[in-house]
Amino acid sequence: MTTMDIWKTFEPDTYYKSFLEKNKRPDGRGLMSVRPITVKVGTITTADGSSTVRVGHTTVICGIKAEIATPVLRNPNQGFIVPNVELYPCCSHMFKIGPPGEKAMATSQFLKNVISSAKVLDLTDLCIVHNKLAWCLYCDVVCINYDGNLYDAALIALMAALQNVKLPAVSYDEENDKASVDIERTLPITLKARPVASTFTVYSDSIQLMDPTAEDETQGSGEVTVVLLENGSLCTTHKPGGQLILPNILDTFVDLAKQRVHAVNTLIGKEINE
Amino acid sequence: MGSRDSRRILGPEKSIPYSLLQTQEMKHFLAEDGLRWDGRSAVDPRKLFMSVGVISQAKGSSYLEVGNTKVCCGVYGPMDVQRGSDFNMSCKVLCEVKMAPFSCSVRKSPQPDKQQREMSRQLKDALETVIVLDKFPKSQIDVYLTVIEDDGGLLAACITAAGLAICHANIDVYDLVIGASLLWHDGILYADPTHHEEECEGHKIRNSGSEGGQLTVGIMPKYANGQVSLLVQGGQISADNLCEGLEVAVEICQRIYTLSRKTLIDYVEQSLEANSDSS
Repeated sequence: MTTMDIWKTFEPDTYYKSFLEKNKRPDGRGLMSVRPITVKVGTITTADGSSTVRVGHTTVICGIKAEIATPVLRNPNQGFIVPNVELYPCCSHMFKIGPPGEKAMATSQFLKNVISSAKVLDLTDLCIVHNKLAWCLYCDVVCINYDGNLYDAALIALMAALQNVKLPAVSYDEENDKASVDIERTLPITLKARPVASTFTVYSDSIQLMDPTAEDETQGSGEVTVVLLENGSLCTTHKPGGQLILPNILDTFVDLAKQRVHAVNTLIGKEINE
Repeated sequence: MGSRDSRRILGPEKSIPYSLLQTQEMKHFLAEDGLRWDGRSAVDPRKLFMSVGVISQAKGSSYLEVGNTKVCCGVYGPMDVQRGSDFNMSCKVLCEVKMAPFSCSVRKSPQPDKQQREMSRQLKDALETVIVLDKFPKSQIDVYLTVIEDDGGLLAACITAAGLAICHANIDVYDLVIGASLLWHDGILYADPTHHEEECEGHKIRNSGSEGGQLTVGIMPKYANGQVSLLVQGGQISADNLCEGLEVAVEICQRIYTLSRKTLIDYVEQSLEANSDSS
């Protein structure tokens, strides 16, 4: 073990602080620089749409399975979209065996909120026959390697997988009340919006970090996530407690996030077209 | 309908996979030219890809692709036993297999089902024979597997991935354990079956004459001239056929063993190079 490793094991707080004093992080990044993102779509053959996203070391796989269900009476011409995030103990020692913990539940709810507030998908597009048949898209996001910034990675994976989904054509025979599916004819779904999330960690009153790793999140005292749409408008802000921040800091976050939106969406678009 | 999961976002109460609504066509096992539907002959195994060090958070990890079956394994430990359990002079092994909901052609419910629990148990028993347990008293080793896609030969892929990950975690083992799976259908032996072939065999109504079944083995090829650490067989197979199948399985395991060793050695060489570059 080198002396740096020994210091990191026995005194993680002072080790981390020594980097911040020089405006750097242990992995060599500046305080406001982001990790490289890799996106691959169509990786899972059993899923109707899938994507694998790597943000630095954080690896996340989203698989979408489409099933047919009956619309609810309240919304007879709407389909369903059901996002869920699974954090297995495989991806980090922070998670234990058993039902989803707080982090998984919080991320699932975050994805659901973003989808509905950004109006990513028009649910009436998912309806096949009014009041009888509709598509239900189960979007499961599985984390393979957790190194911080799960919100960003999960949203990118979900968006990429949604753009990769191909739904087969369904024909409904009214007389016999029978539906049949033709997998040869598939259609993609149209997305109305492409939100991109950016997460920041607040370390102290004067130090904030963009795109935190797991170490940054443990050392920091609270995260702030801002979700922007392609035209730069703010769609969701997520600040679950944590260190208080002044409003002008939030403005800086939004400005930094704006620069990221275009880059991420072009990256996803490039992968989809290949 | 069963209790509704209160910790997950729920969809409609009932939904059916659209594959039930499409006309099913039976694929034959062997076409006229003697090849299977994916172009292999009856005893050809599928293409393999393996790598280690995929999970930066885990002590040891591996990623394995056998055809379309994709499995990822993370090993944590040896670490202190959970408080409350007795101290043991040999190590405790905890093994859990989790299948992602999108890994099968019909979506799996996120709650663990019998198949996952059975595989976890079988793997735990197999890994207890592989790891040198006496070297880690009062400790526990956690082995977690995530199945990303299931296209047949799942238990075998899990064993190989777990074996690789444990070696990558620098945990003392007797040998690298490798898994192989076989299928008998109408008396013919097929190596490394796909999910479709396994299902067809499982659903076939067997009359008295025909033989059919499946076999999964986990083998340590070099330790003490070859040791079997796991053997799971189902169906109806004569003893001679079973022995012949075991020999085919041992041969497949030998080939995978050389590839696994090469993967581990390449990884060690790369990290030595990286260390010498930085120092």
